[in-house]
Amino acid sequence: MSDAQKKEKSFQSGHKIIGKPLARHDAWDKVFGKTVYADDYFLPGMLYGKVLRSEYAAANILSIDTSEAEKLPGVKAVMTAKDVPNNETITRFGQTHSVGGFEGLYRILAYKKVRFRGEAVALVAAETEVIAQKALKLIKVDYKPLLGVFNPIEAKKPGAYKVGESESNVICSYKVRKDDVEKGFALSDVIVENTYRVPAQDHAYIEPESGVAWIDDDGVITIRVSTQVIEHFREVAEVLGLPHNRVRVIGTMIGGGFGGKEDITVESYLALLTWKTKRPVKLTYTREESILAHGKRHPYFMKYRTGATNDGKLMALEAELISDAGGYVYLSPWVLLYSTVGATGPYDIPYVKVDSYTVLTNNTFSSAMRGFGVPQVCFAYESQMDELALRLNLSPLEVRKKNYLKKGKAMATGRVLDRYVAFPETAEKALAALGEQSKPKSPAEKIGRGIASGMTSYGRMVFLHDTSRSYVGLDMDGSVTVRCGVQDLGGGQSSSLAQIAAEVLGVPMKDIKVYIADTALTPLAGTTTATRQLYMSGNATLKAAKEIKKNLLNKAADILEVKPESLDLQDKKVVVKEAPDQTIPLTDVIATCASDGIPLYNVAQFNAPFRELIDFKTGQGQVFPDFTFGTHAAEISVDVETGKVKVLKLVACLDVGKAINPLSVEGQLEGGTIQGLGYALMEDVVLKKGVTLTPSLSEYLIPTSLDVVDIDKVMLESGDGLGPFGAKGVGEPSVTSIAPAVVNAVCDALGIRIFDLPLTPEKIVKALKKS
Amino acid sequence: MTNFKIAEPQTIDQVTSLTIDKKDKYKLMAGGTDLLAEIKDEIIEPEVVVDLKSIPDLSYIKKEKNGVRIGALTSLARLAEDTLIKNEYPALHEAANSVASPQLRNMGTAGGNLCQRPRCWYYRDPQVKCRKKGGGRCFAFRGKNKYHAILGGGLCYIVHPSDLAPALIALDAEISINSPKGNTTIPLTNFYTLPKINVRKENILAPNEVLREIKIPLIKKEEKSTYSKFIERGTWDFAIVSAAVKGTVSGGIFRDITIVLGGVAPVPWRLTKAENIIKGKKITEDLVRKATREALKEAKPLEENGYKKELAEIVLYRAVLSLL
Amino acid sequence: MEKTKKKKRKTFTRRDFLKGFGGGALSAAVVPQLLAHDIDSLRTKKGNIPLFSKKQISLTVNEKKFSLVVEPAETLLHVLREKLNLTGTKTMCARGECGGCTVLLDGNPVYSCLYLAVRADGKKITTIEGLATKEKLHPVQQAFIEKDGYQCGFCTPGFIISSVALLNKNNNPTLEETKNALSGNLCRCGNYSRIHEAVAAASKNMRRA
Repeated sequence: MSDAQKKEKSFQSGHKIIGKPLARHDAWDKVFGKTVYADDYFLPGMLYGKVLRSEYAAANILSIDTSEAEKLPGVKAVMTAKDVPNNETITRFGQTHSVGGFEGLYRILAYKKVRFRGEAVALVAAETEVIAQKALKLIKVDYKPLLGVFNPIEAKKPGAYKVGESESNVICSYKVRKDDVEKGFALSDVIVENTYRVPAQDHAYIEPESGVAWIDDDGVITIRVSTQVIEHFREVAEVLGLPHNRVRVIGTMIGGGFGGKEDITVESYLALLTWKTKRPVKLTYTREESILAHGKRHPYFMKYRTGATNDGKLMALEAELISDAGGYVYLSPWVLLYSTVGATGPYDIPYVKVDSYTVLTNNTFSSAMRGFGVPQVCFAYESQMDELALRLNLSPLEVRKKNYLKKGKAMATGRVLDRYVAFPETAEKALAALGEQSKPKSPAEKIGRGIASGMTSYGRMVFLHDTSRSYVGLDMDGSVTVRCGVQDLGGGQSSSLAQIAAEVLGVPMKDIKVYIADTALTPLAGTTTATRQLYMSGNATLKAAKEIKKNLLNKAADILEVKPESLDLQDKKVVVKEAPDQTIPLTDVIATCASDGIPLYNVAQFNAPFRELIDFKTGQGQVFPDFTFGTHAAEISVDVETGKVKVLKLVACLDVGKAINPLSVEGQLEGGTIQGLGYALMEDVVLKKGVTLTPSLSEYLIPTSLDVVDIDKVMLESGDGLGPFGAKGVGEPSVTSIAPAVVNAVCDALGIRIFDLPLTPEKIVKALKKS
Repeated sequence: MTNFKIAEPQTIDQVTSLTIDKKDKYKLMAGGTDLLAEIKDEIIEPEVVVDLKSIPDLSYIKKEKNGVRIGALTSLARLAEDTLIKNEYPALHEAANSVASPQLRNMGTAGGNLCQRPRCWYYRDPQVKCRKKGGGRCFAFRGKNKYHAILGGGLCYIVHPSDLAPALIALDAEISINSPKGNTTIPLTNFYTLPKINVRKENILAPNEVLREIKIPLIKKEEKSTYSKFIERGTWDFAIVSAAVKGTVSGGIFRDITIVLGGVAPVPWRLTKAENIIKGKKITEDLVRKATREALKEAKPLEENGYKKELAEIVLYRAVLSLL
Repeated sequence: MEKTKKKKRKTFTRRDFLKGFGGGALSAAVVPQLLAHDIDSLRTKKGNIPLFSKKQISLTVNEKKFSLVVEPAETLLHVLREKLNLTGTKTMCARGECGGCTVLLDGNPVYSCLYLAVRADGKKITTIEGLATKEKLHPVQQAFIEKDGYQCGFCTPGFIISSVALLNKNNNPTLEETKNALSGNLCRCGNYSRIHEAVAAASKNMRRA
């Protein structure tokens, strides 16, 4: 029995609700169509907002004339940069702990210069959407087009067109140095060197950005919005020059986020328009606008050089990473840091050199997307591993097994992995799950298999000093209220909190009511990003629930004249563990507590481990709290004449720590795998000179029901995660390694390698012709 | 969506008696799936939409002595489900079934499919004024062009997006047009025009003319047909290359054959040269590939779309071989 | 084909249009009945074709009859969401490229974002809100809950409607038939397999019932 399996057993014991595949508490509303998403909300007297966006990717704004638009009947406000109290803000990192460095200029509305096509230039609020749309056309903007720069390699060169005003195009760069990499190459028998390229990927969440804002009775600007980060309320307040507590953000259930609703979307615009008009305002992006106006997964150029000895031991890895940040900084520095730390993958390599850069261009800006810089490097290093395997005449699994990091080993950044590392376990299981290899159905069809492993952090960077809070309260009838400022993206974020409270307090799920995502009324729980919400807010909720349980059991122990340790809460009863028929109804204990003044509620705070900044000269130090380890395996067929790839089998094998709700975890594994499949085979935001040519879902293709197979989800439960009950995060780790697994499978079938994503028929036909 | 008025004519004559209107103040609407998307995208801004669905009796599939008649407003779903079409004209069945998605097939019509506007990403960008929209240049020529035309380009490099058109042309379909001058029936192949004739349009239809009916001749003995569509995604995508083939075949030899490609040119592209090479000879993969290569010799690929030539060869020989 | 002769006479004037075109400014919900029929017309040699800038329509939504005034450019989706307060049907792309706005129109699934409300006159429409009765869930809804057939839930109404349309026609679909029937709906959470499982489970229950 492996470590993981042993842990798995011990963790399965005794839980009534944790670990059970339960329908989520929000299921009924969702299948009835009753969930009130951001755009489903209406207020009397509500205006409709619209955003005028730049037609140019690079231009000076010479003048803006809004007079005609203002005259149009039904138009209630037209705003440009000059009407915004604080139009320029600095993108900051960490809601409550400022770390300095890498602060990026961010403008609410373009001022003097536009930096990407689709940049917001002016705002309109009008009585109807049609009038607002008409008003946009009446705003005259006089642009002077500029040269622009559209390739980060060009933009990085001295003398290149300057995207911003005075700042350098190179936003930041990092290094990782572990010994002298040339020594490592000298010790290598085989060296493979390749350049990889990945395009921008769009989140294509099914719900476009949307919100409604109003001013409440007390004059507080209230914004009900689809966001992953309600704590942007502080930035919105600063834009308007208001105290933080005069802006309230209420997060709705989100129709998909995947990182794209991590940055501010409509909040500032809504706040400005409602502040100006004193009326409720709704603003919902069109699909085209959504694709033009939110940050993409960063395109990367990645040069990799990997060396190994003849027996397959990795000796050296050198990587140069260049990411295209687009027109503004946003989260590019942090995404790049994730890529840099992740550049060596889950491998033990003695000599390492990584240099990375993120560069401004006049393309659509890039920012957070599920995986946050890790899927890009995983594609490169896992392609390199297969190339090495080929050169060394080893199987892909063998070469990986010789090099996987293990518990107690250090990453290239010096961080020692101090918890269970699920290698080679996940790789062996993923490969085994593929079963017998399929037979080709025609002479033109070739079958291939591939695997790829990844390690992806969960929880925010430890120098951000991340915290979360949750409130748990019992009512007199034994029903439970959880209040926690989590944003629910559909991954089951709030339902997991209900499960945790239900488990600890021994009440059924139906007796739990969860209130989420309100900066005025729920304890702040931080962002639903970085695969952190179950880890952070799950722990906070667990802590609060346990505190109440302690109070209840102490009181019950008094009544029964036994020790509290001999009692437990089950089925709304206090039970004596050794004599389960001896019980007191929970409501009796609650009544006694209430009468004796013993708290029946608790607000708990959970703090992640706090560390200081890493050494940026060498990249040495700890960046992440912990990692989720996993391997994807794929079997595909490729038509060697048309270049069309068909997926036959997909396996996702991850150590999830502990599945709080196996259905939700499976959903994450499935969803991440399919998004990564799209990344591998079809998704490509095509830009020419900063102009997006694929601003619709008929041009930007994402997988349909006919592109997918039933994914084999192999969940390992080591119980060794930092989350509640030993859980790890799975939201982002589920996407990391699928694209390279598919690419490795295609290359296995074709006998040639393709270095650019996505692997469209066009690219495969061209590559086959060349070979 | 910008507002417009709606006209609900009761007869086709009412529509054909409208004045020609160069400024496109009115537009005829069949299923509306393409038209409304164009209005929403502000590529066109008609002041009046003339709803052809208010005219009764334009949706039918009838087999008669001289052939099968299909009303222009017959939905694609009905066409795809019809047993007669499925059994006797597999090319049309397959083409109808390959259009977009189930919902769009319920909404879209046969006539509308034949009159679809191009999917070129420059054409669909309201801020790009390309030649097709009255501007001075074709942005695909030196731009991004992996989906664009390898044949018949020049002024404009769109590809015709219709799935039904190649299939119907291969089946020798004719169409009836009601026009102010009276009603005419022409071969469908004569309906489509290259950019050099009129870069703003893809067919000869005037704004006040109505494509009323499609007629397909009765099938001959041993006649077979097929439509094969190559797309990037598993479904719901426009053809990169498609091939419609019809012929009478016995003993591995085509006595006659008609080949039409989709996705390669601004109009459905008939491969007469290839037909002549294939006709009367024992079919082999080599023969078909050679014939296609010969026929596509005149292709002038742009920077990114040369792979369409190879794809066309493969899609076509597979389609031809499937009829043996 | 013969060239069409061009006519000199203008058939409708700019002024005709301006009369009706301010209509966008009217608050959509409160148009007096009197305005319902516009007197404008498209003049032709063979009689006038009346032009509507508003129209009174009657439609049945989820077995309830509604009579209301709509503008020509209003889509069925807009009417459902903004006038009938049936927000279960979603706006995701508004171009017929995603399936979020799928409703049943006389039993067939269509994209309500590309379907003009004027055309819905006299039609029978079913939305997600019309599937369950007071007493029980529709078997497809039940199966979506049991099989976790949703994540964020935003595409779910569209998928459920397409699934119902399929099962009404074919109560025992193969996996391939299910995939085809749902191929006009996108799910970005990537939950397809579980949706397919839900359809299979619903089909089983419907056959048993």
